[in-house]
Amino acid sequence: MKSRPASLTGAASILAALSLSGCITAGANPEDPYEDFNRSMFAFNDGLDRAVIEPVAHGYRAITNEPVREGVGNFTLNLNEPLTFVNHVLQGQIPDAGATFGRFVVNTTVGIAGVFDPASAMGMQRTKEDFGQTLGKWGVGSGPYLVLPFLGSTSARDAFGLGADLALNPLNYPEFESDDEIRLGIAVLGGINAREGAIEAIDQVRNQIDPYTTVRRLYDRTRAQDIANSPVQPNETEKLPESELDF
Amino acid sequence: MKMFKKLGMRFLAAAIALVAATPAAFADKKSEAYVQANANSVLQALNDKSIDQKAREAKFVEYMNRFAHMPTIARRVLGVNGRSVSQSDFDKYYKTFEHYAMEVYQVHFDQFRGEELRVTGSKDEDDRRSTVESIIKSSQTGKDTKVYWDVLRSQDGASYRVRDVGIDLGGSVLWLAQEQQAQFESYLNRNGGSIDKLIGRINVLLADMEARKKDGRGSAFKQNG
Repeated sequence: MKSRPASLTGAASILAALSLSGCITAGANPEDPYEDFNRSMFAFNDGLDRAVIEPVAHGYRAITNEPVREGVGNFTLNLNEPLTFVNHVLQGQIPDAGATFGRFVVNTTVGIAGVFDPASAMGMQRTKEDFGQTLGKWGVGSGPYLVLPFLGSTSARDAFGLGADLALNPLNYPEFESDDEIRLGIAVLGGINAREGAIEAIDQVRNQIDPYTTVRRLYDRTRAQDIANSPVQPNETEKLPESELDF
Repeated sequence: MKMFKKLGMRFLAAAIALVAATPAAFADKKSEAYVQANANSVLQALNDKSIDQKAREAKFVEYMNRFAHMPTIARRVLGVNGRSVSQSDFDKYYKTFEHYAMEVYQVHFDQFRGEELRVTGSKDEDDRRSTVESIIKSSQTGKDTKVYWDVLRSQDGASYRVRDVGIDLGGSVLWLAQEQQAQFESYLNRNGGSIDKLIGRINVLLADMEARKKDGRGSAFKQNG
């Protein structure tokens, strides 16, 4: 078996290297101890996005139509189903694992390699599970929030999970001619397709007072919701100050 | 022994019934009525075709100021900095904040333009505070969207004000003022608590919103349907 470009230890190794090189040092904010480092990486990723990824996403939108983009999205998401299946099993969610397996079989065959999504029409709704969520379900805390170069928002737990996902996904193991190039091409296409779908949302984030804080809070909330598999409705429950009640 | 068991079971059933009934018994129906009436007034203001855009915006601001208490929200979103800011700095900041908040709220509410809001229930947080739940169809997505209202009741119980609005984004609720507070606090913390820098940042965003309106790009705050 060939060694994969990024393995179980991939994201965790990046973290370790950055820590050892002194790039990451803990700061004063208990909610975000590596805030200074994270903000630098956020600025780097944002610059990269504005210079390269966003223009490519706009170009992609210009030369494709909605059905094509939906097909590409279906195709790339279908390739994640085996990983979702494995993580459902690890979380003990056997009926969901069965439904995911069914989705994969139906969409890969009837749906022509996953380009179409007849499984949803048949009542098998798409779920998405990764190893970060599995660790969360097992009670592992998220650890500090991190922004990694090229990869974006994550946490110590989810960065480890990302590496594990590469190792756990059964589709990463079959070998064939130019397999690495094909996998990389699919990942790039999936990334551009996803970025195209987020053009308005990212535009909205950039127009916030502090985009970094918006993204961090959104990430924390979304992950908490993904792990709980139920809506998270944060609202302050602490006692309100007198100034607010004085009327 | 059997009798004690029976009595115990009855007591348990009564206790459960009491606990289950408590939220409904204390629920403040006036808060619900307040939201129902005022939220629809705000939405109607946005859709009033009998007046021009400028007058519509003025009406929206007037209703919003009646519905919520903007100076309180402006101070709250400053977080701990709000307690120490001087009155003159606050006045300077408030003018900019009100303009910014109205622009942001207007765009968020605009997705419900022309739709009727329906209050579906409420939960009392304490004797002065309720969370009112409502449903309204989004004209952008065509789907029913849950909107939550954090409502405070006055000391004499005669008036109400909205403290925050939460919009359900596919299962996760975005509380507008709460999010603003997190951002404002973070921005101030990173800029030595400087109100002037915050005002500068808000003005940059307002200028961008204005430019978008002029060149027809629309608002960056519109949700992707």
